[in-house]
Amino acid sequence: MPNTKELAHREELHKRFTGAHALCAGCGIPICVRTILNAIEEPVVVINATGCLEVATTRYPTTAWNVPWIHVAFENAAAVASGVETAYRVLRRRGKISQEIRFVAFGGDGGTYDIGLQALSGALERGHRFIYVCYDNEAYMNTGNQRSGATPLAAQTSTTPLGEKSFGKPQRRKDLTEIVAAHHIPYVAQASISDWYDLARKARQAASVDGPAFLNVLSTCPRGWGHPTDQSVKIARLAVETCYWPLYEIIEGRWVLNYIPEEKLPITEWLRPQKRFAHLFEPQHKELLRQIQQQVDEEWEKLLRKCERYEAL
Amino acid sequence: MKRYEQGEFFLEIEPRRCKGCGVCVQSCPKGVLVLNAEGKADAKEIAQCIFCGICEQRCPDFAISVHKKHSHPHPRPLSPLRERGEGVRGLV
Repeated sequence: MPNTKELAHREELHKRFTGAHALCAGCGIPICVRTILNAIEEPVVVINATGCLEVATTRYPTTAWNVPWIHVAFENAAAVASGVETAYRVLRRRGKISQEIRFVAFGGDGGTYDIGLQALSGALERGHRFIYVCYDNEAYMNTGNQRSGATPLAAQTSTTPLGEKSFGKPQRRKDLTEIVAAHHIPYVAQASISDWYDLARKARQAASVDGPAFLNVLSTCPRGWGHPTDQSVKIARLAVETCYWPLYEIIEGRWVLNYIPEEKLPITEWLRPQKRFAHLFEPQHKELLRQIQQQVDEEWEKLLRKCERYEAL
Repeated sequence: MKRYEQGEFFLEIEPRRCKGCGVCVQSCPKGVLVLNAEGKADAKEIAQCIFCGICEQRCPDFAISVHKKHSHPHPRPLSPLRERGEGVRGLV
């Protein structure tokens, strides 16, 4: 894989996704999109689910995309990707296209964890060769921070507000990476915007496998999470350092861990800078805090048992 | 456009594009970049810069670019409407 310095001077890769989009300052999405598109050398076609990325990059009459881009509806990014990929395969067989093309679908956590899950599951099961990237900012941020299946326990959102009887979201988040891994596809990975080399390498690997690939990328949202805009990368890194968001990949069914923190930080380090968790530091929610820490520890232990080897990069 | 030179490389920052998100500040391996009083990126310790290009790759708004002097320039022009200072209003 080319190193960063080489990639930084590859003009054609830079031009795929351009500036002048309307994504907020400190948003993790453009970092995720740029890192992934810069790492894939083959021509790409982008399929977009409804979400912040779609809305903010395609305000009429402007667009931030310099690659073929398609958006149909909220729930069917994976189904559209299947259709586009099948058409490409047929045209290629008939000799009308000779290029190697990669298909990258971007969806938020709302469009992937909840609304688009059955379309995604179908596309993965049928084995279309495409990369599905879920930028996970843990709620429906585009429409104003409503809870999603990715929202963690006790997070305040506009549909799970803090009140006398309520402490935020009462349920746990679901582990989509594992759900996707259960489809026995060639490549599944979990990454974070804070570890750019890891993310770029995973995007390259996802582009190289013959079959579906899935990347689940933690992407910060200063508006929804309530942290200062200039702390995004730091917050994303804290999620990795506290083992809330472990970096791992599943290659042909074999689990590989990519990062073990030298010193596992307590989960409070990640929760404290975010306003959506501010109430957890009041005395009456002490038990909740302990419960969250316990869940993180349990999931980390479970992951360590599943991983066959450790491959740091 | 601000230009910071060192040796055979130079760094360019376009303050009009910078949203002050600090992604470059946090990803710079050498601590070259800071946010200035206006909340825009600034190359404070340009002498430390190794011109790795991480800031250029990560900037969500294409405000920073790293160039080699005398090499083929890769300009990042603002859109014609922005250049004229009309912005989106010019379209409505």
